Amino acid sequence: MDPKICAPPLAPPISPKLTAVWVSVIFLSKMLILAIGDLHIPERAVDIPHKFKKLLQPSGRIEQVLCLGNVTNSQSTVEFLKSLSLDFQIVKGEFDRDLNLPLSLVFTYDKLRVGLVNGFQIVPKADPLSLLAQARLMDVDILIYGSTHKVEAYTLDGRFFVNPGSATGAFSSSNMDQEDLDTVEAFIEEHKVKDTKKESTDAAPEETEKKDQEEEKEEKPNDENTLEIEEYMDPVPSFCLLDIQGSVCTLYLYTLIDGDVKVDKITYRKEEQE
Amino acid sequence: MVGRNLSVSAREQQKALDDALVTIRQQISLMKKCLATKNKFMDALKHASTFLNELRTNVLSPKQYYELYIMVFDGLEVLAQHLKTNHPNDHLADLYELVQYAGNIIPRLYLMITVGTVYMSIPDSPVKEIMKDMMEMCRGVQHPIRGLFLRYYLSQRTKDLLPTEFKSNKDESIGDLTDSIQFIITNFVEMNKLWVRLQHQGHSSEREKRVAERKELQILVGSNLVRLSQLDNIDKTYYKEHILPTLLEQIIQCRDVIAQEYLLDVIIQVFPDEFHLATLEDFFNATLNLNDQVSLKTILMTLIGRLIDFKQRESDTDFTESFKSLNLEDIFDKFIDFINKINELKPDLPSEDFCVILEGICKLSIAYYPENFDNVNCIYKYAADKFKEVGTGESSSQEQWKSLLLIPMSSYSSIKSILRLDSSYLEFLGLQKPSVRKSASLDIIDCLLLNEVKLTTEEEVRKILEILKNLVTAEEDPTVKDLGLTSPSHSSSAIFGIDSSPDEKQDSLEVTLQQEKLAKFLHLIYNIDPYKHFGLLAESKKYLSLGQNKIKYTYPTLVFIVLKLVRKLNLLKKVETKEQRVQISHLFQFVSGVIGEMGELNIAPILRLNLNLVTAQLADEVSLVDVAYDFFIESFLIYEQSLVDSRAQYQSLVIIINKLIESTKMIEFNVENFNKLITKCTLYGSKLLKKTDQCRAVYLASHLWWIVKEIDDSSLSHISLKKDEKRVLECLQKALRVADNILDARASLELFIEILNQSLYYFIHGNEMVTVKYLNGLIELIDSNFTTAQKESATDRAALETTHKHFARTLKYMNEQRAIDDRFKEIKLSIE
Repeated sequence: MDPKICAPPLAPPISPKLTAVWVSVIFLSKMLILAIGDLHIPERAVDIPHKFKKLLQPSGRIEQVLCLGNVTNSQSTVEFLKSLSLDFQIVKGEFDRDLNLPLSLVFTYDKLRVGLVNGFQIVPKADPLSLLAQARLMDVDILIYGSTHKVEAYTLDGRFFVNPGSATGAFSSSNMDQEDLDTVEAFIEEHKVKDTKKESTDAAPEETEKKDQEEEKEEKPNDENTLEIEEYMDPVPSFCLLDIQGSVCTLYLYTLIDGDVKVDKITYRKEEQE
Repeated sequence: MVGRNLSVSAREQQKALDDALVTIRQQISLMKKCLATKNKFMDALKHASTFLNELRTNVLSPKQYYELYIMVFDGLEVLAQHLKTNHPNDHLADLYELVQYAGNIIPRLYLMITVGTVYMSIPDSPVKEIMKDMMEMCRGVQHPIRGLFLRYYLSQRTKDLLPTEFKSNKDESIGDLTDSIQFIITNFVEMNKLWVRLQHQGHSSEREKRVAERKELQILVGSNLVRLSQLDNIDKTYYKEHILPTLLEQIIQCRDVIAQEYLLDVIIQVFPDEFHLATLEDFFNATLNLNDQVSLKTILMTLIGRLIDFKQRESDTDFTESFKSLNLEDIFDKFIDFINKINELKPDLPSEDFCVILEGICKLSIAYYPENFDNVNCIYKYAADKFKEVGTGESSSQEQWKSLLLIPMSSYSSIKSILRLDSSYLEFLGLQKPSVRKSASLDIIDCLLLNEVKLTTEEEVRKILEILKNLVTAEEDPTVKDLGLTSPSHSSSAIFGIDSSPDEKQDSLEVTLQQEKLAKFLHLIYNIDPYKHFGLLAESKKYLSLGQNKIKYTYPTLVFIVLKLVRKLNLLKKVETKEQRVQISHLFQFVSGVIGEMGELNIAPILRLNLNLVTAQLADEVSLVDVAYDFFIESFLIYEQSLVDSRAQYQSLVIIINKLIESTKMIEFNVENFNKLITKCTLYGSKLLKKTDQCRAVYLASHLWWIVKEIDDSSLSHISLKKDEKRVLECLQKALRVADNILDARASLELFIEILNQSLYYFIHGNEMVTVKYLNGLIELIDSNFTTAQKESATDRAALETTHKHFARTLKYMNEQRAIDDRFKEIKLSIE
């Protein structure tokens, strides 16, 4: 994708070359809506990743914060989210203790109606057909939902479904995806291979000492037959920004992968009704 | 004299200054003209004498006097240059005599110094004699401001002319470095006397003004010390034996607060670090003899700061050698001796200052002896002793005590060093007021979190939790409680909106924030070995349990960390053999115990229910289906016994349904248990209080009999884990009956439409009992009910309209589905 096209609306996390483009985007861009949720602080995560926080730092450009819940056990995080915009909206997640919080909310922006639910009440959880029924019920063009800790966005039957994932990459008690399981599997496998390599290195003393030392570090955990696999187990931290104009919604998906913020852009256009 | 000064207004002062400047400027230019003309030298001197007369003024402030001085200095510089180029050696000796006949002492001495210093610059001149003579003559001016400037002039003029070498075979008239040092020190002593005397002149009501004037003049006195420090060829031994003692003697003897604070500061700043290290004791002894009003703390902190900087520069490689050559003995002991002396001789020293000094020494020790933890222990011992003696003290000092507590966090390169301190630290911490202790503990956690310090051994975990224990128990500050200052964060009416049992008291915002931080801390406990990691968590639980009902803030975090360990073990293929399964069951027992403890305190029932459910999920994930069953049962019990709010009941039931749907291993390995659970769950749904809740819970429960699993993402193929078409239909029918029984026609219709949507789900999924006929019946029913409702006057038109739109959307969707699914074409859609 052309980087100029997918220039995200917040301050640049990556290449300084793009600065000019970023700046122009900042000045031209309209106000944005932040969708963020499933933070689970402090139970499953310590804080919103520093790089996200820096990106979100009160810029005055976030018109509204839509929070998908599972946050209220951390007063400090709620305060942070409230500081991002004067308009803070939240729906209840399964771990929010306050029963007075709404379970769903609907907002209208220009020609689009946007619905907000945590997703724990969608049965089966995150099932596309069930989400579709929910969107029909709420009469929304865009349904923002959470609870799976998996960032995704897709269009189904003319409606746009957005899951901003977990902003902290919080542990999810649901089964891991096959894809993620494969990643972990591959990582463990790779280390087993290294382990055997190490043995062969021992047999071949002409190997440089330096390489030995390098492998020593990794070898240690293998001795106890255990590995540091946490980073492969946890979901990718993510959140979304929505820019709505007319019947078009431009969605920016922010993810934190290997310590770097990545941005993807998806555009949804509501089909005009006759 | 100064009495007159009092009456001089600012405007008069300015006028006097302007007049004087005009005169000086004129006289300088006249002097220059005369110097340029042959045989007019005596006239030139006369003009010089005239502008020097302006320095005799009494009315100017030090700053204004300085302006005159600058201009005069430039004038005399012209004269000096002229003398240097135009006058032969022997002539200068005569001239030196001649200028002494000038009428007034001020012009006379300035001219004498000007000529004398030019004379000194000539080879083979009697330098020592001239120095001695000028010094003697300067005694003639005793007015503080005039005297200080005159002597400053002497110092400036002689700057590059004083002998700089030690000479063994002294030529009496030329002198050596010893004489230069003597010269500067004498000038310093005399200037200091003048400076101090200024304080005692004039009316006492002008004290403030005089203090300000003295601060303006201090740099003149200090310049002598700068001069001393600039002399090369002085080593630390000479400094220790011959220079410092005289300086300190003068400083002590003058008994003047301003002088003592300023001059000691200058000494610390201008002389090299090595000198200070060599003379610590002398310096300390001097500080103990200062005026009681002198801030001992400020002086010591300056010194300590300087020494720490010195040590830190040592990391520069080229610096290392020079540092080693110092052969440093243990300076920490010297500081401790000093502390002992302070305790003995200055018992009235404010505890706040004492604390600052201890903090400084602590930092110093960490900088110089990073491995010596005994030093730091010793500091905390002193701190504890002092604290016991003086008590908590005024609130201003509390920040200071806290700051001392945080030194190990900020000063050590490794934050974990705090764990290597002994019980003195804990004792000192324990003596603090609860508010100080808490605040310090929170800062410690912040620091650990910021640096992502992992605690990997039992000892580390124990030690840090000993420190943080006060947060766990979250004891209230008694003074706050007495004053009724604690206000609950939520008004009592909101209690029932929160997950809590009715007798549960709400904590203040402050407490929740503290507990949140404590919970975050738990994430720092880590060991790469999952079972060792678990052991550390079990250890930390012992401390957390002291928190009584505060455990509701911290225990959930423990549960999730343990559950993550369960997943990790599974991924590492460590839940395969029978032994391994027994071993991992300890983790579940632990979680069960943790939730149980909260149950005994009867707190946060919804939270406990949810924790049981997520644990059941993880147990299912690792195929411990019987364990999963137990946790489900546990959550059912909480549902039955402890949930009072109908909203909580409905929501919990929905969550249970979703968790059961995800329990694929139980379906696979123990479907009997699974069936028991889903039957029970559906029963709960049908017993909900509100009919709308009942209806929804029942139609959602239908999914418990229809569970599909995607095989992989690319193809849309599913496998059915549970496929009981009849029970699905029964649920839908039951929901319909409930909806039909609702009196409010609109609410009833809304539910019908929702059930229609549910039915579509099954229709699409191919449940053969949800037929076209069934759907047609349902649509007809809804249609006719709408017709009836519209006739009834009681219904809310607007609401009914909204509901009808929902229906229309549903029909529209069905219409659209005809494009991809032929079966939809058989359904009669009422919009047609």
